[in-house]
Amino acid sequence: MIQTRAIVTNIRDLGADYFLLEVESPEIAGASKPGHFVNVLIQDSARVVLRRPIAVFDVKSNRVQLLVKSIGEGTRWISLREPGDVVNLLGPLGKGLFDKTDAKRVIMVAGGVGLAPLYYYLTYYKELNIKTVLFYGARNAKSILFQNELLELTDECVFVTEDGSLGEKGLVTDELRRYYLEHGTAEGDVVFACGPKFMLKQVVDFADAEHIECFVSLESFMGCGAGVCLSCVIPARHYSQDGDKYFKLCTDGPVINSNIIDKRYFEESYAGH
Amino acid sequence: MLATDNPRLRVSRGKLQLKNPVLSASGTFGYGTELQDIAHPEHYGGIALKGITLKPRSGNPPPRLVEAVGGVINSVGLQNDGVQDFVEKKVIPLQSYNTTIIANINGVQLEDYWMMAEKLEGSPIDYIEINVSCPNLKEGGVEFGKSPKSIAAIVSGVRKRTTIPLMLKLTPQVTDIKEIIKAAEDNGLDIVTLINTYPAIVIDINTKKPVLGNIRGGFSGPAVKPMAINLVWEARKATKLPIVGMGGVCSWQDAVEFMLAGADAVAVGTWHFINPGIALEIAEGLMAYMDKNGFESVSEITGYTWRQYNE
Repeated sequence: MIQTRAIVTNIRDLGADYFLLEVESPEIAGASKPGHFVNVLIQDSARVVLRRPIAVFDVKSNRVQLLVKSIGEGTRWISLREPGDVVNLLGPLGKGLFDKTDAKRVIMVAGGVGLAPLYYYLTYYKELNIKTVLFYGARNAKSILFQNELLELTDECVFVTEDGSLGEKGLVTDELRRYYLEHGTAEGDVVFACGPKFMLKQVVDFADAEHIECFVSLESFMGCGAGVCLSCVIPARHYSQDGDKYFKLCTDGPVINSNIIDKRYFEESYAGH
Repeated sequence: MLATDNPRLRVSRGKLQLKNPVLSASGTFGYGTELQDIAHPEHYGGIALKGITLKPRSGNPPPRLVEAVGGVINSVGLQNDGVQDFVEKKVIPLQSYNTTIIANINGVQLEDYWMMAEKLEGSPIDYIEINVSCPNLKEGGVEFGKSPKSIAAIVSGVRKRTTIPLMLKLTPQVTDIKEIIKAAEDNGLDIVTLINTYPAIVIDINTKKPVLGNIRGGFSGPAVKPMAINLVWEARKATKLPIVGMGGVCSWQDAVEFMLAGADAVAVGTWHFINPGIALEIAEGLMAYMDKNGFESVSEITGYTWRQYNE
């Protein structure tokens, strides 16, 4: 983990409020693995105090790519960077996950900007020649990003839009279920999912019912991003009297096995109280 | 030599003996070693470790952190493995570092503080910081911090059980800081540390529910700095004991300001999340400021402004 001032080498407006920021950082690029994130310092704002945790989207030699959807003041600031600007980054952070090389078939479920942490895994499994199937859902055709790249990276790729303007019409989780009805489960299946909570809940319920190993990539407000402040915790599903009641999303995740998470966390209304 | 080790930054007043005046505030620097790639423990004059309690605590339900203008509100709720684990495991790796170690102790009842002091006596820590100002404990915590009677009982009880120098971390919610400090000083306090966070609530107008799982949390960050400096100023009137000032320290300029108001040292809290490498930057900034302003030693900054209005 380092703190660095990285130069912006490129920023692409992908439409539908999505931006791909590329920064030069040999140290972070060299140390990043799928499942890692960086904490981006947002400057010039009294309202945005905390750094913004952003998944590593991809690494191209010395450059780190971050996919951002401009939805608030912090992400808007990121989207307004220009080549030559300096961005203060802390990273790579997170546990990273590279122990699933025994997977025989990797099923990815992405909802909207949830594609961000999964793309890097797809490149990783592509290199390992492990079969990947991607279900990628968004509101409409404009919000489905990197279509050509994803078709190239995956063995099967199903685009799903709510309005039917691209691929299947409906919800990505319906397509996931349909796929399994048609193909059945196979030994060595691993599911990765990232997206809104209602999507994650459906994926986790499905994986539980089918006994498929499932990893979800979660988000939270984070303080330090490095395991010291204990702010970004999520509740554990099972814990003994002495066991930890919570996981630290920053250092135990943010990609985490869904079978250790208290399922109430996936309820839209979950707020602890 | 790093600025953090420059003898001109040495702090020496009463029991407060530090190689430089920059501390980490409890709860923002873990157990000292987690961030060492970017924030080395030896950059600090002292490290206040994550707050501990007599028994392990799992902490408050999430969400535990939310932003507000100029700061953040946390309701971590003292998640920790208890004093026994602290003594047996957490302190050990820190002994080899050239810095001072501060144990931050919290209680839900008076006796908790006393029993923790007993456990800590003989362990390789340099200071005990008695925390009577945590807003995230449902019982005890900050309620003790508002009562001179409770403070007298806690400090005297801890004093009887340990020879380790004692700090007392005060809440900003005091009605009369003089009374509070006097109650502690009369019972053996060595060092005053202030301030802890301000109780605060944020409501999500869409769900119409409080954002934090615990409903209420403690507000910290740059927005509290002027209020913290006001309390350092008032505390300086109340005592000649060393004072560690904190609350919104985000830069070396903030550190200077606290010291001009009367602080012997400062602690960085929330800003560790934004700039983990801040301790070294503050030490370098202090050195440059001293050169520019003709201060030979950092202790000459302490109370410089305050004295002109109070002596």
